[in-house]
Amino acid sequence: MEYWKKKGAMALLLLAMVGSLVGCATGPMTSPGWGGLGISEDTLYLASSQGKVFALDAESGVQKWVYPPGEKEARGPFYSAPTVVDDLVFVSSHAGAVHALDTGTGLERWTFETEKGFVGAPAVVDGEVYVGNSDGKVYALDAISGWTKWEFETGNWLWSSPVVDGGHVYVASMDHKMYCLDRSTGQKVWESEVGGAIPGTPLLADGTLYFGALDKKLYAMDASSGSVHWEFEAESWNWGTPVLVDGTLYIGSLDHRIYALEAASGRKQWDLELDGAVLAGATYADGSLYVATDGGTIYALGVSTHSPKWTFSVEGRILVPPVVSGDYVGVNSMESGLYVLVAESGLQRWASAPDGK
Amino acid sequence: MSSQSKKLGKGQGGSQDLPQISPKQIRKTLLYVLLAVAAVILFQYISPGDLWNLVIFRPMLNSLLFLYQIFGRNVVWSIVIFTVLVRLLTLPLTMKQLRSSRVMQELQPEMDALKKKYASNKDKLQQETMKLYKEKGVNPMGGCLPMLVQFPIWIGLYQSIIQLLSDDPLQLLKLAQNIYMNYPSLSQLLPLNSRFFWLDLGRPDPYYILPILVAGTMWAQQKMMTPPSADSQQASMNQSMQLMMPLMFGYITLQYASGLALYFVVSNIVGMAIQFAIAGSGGLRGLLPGSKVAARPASIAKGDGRGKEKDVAKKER
Repeated sequence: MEYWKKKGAMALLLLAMVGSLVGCATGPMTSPGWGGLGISEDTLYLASSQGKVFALDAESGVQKWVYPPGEKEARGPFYSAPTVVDDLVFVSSHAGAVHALDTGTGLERWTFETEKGFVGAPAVVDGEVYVGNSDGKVYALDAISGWTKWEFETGNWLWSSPVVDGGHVYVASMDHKMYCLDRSTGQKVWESEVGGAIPGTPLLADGTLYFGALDKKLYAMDASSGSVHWEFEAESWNWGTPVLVDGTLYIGSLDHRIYALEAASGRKQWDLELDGAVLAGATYADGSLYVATDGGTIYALGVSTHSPKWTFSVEGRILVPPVVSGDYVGVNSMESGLYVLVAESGLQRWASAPDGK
Repeated sequence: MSSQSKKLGKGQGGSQDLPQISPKQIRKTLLYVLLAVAAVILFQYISPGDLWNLVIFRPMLNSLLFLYQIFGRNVVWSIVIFTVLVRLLTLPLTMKQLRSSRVMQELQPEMDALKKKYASNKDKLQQETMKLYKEKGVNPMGGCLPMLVQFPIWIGLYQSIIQLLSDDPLQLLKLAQNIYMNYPSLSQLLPLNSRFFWLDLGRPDPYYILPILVAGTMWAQQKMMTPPSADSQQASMNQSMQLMMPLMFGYITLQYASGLALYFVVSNIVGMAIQFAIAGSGGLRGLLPGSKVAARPASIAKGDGRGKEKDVAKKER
C-alpha cells in the first residue's frame, strides 16, 4: 500500500509539473507583433504590437486618432510599418487584413482580408497596393477600393514588402527565392534562388537588389536577370533592409554588428559591434545612420567617422527601424512604447505608451 | 575508514543506540555536498535559463534540425527518430523501472506480513519495510526516475517544436539565438515544412486524432506496466491512475503543438514494445482477443519476462 501511495503521489506531482511547466515555461503559441512606425510630415503613425493604429502629433505626442476607436476589438498584432500615401494610411496586420484608413480621421475606407497574417508593410505606388502574405502570395490591390487586381503565389511565406520599380515588382520569399513579376499582370518574369530564406525587404538601387538571407549572407543581385553579383557572409542572419549611401552599403546583422560594405564589390570597409542584435534595417538622414538594437539602444552613427555621435537607451527591445523626419527621430520599443528624440543631440523630446505598455 | 567509524560509535556510548553510518553513505553525502557546492559556483557564472539552453534545449533543437536534414527534410521522421533515440538512451532507466516494479510486486506478500506484524507500530513498520527494501536491493522510488528524466525532454522538445515550426516572426527571431550558426547548413533548412497530411505540426491537431492516440497509447502502456492487484483498494487506485494520466496528457496535447503529441504517441508505442519484449503484454493480456484472464496473482510475476508469462498462460489454459 505504501508503494502505491508513493507511486500515486509521484504521478500527481508529475501531472502538476507537466501542467504548470509546459504551460508557463514556454508561453503562448502566438506572440504579439513588434509594431511598426510610419511618418508623414507632422504625424507619427504607430501600428502597435497589441493591434491598434495610432496617429500622434510628432511635435507633442498628442494622440490625433486611434483605429479601431474606443473599446472596439484590436485588429492586430502588427509587425509592419504603416505606409502613408496622400490621404490614406495603409496597415497590414498579422491577423490577416490590410486596412486603408483616412489620415485625417482614422476612419476605415476598406479592408482586405486573408486567412494568414501579414508581416511586411504594403508598398503603394500609383494607386496600387502590393503586399505579401504568410500564405505565400503577393496581392496587387486597388488603393481606392481594395479590390484584388492579381495575385501571385510563391513557395513559402512572404514576410517582406514587395519592391516596385517601373514595370516590375520584386518579391523576396521565404522559399529562398527572389521573384521578378510583371507589374500589370502579376506574371513571373524571372526567379532566382539563393542559399537561405529571405525574411526582409530588399533594397533596389542602381539596378541591383541588395538583401540578406537566413544563410547569414548578404546578396547583391542583378535586378534585370536575377544573377548574383556578389555575396557577403556575416556571423548571423541579416534580416533588415540595407541602406546605400555614397557607394557604401550598411547592413545590421543579428550578430550584433553593423557592417559597411563597398556596394560595387561587397568588400567590407568596416564594422562596429553594438549592444544587441540588429533586426531592423538602419535609417539614414543628414550624414547620420540611425540604428536600433534588441538591447534597447538607439545609435546615431556618423557615416564618415564610423563612430557613434550619441546613443540613447530605452527599456525593452527595438525591432523596427527608427523613423526620421526633420529634426526628430522616432523609435518604438516592444516593451515600453514610443520615444521621440532630437536628431542632433539624442535628447528625449517625448515618450508615450499609447497602447498602455 | 570502517574501523574508525566503529571506534567512534563505541566511544560515544555504544553502537546499539546510534545509527551506524557506513563509508558508502559518507561518500554519498560528500558527493551530494560537492554537487551542491558546484551548482552554487556554476550559477554564479551562468543563469539557470542559460544553463537549460546550453545543456538541454539547444542540443535538442539542433539535433532535430540535423535529423530533419538527413531524413528527407520531413519533420515527422525527425521527431520519430529523435523519440526512438531518446527511448534507447533511457533504456537502462526503463529496465531499472521494470525491474523495480517487478521486485516490488514480489515483495508484496512479505510487506503484507510486515503490516500485519507491526500493525500497531508504524515507526517499526517503516524501519522494517526499509530494511526489506535494502536487503532486496530495491529503491521504492526507482520506478519514477525514467518518468522524471523524460520531463525535461518534453519541455525541451516542446520549445524546439514551437521555435522550429512556428510561422511567427518573433519565434524565428528567438531561433537565431539557439541555432548553431557554425553549421550554416542548419540555417539553410529554414523554414521547415511542418505539414504532414492533415497536420500542421506546429499547431494543435484540428481533428483531435493525435490527442486521442496519445490518451489511447498511454492507457495501453500503463495497463501493460501496472501489475494486477488482489487488494480492491489498490486495484481501484490503479484504475483511476490509468484513466487520469492518459486523459490529462490527451488534454495537454489538445492545447499544444501536434509535434509534441507525435512524440508522446511514438514514445508510448516504443515503451510498449520494450515492455512487451521484457515482460509480455501484462495487464493488456486479459483484453486481448482469445484471452479471458483478467488478472493474475502477484507471485507468478517472478522470473524474467515473456517466456515465463507464456508458460503461465499455458498453465492457466
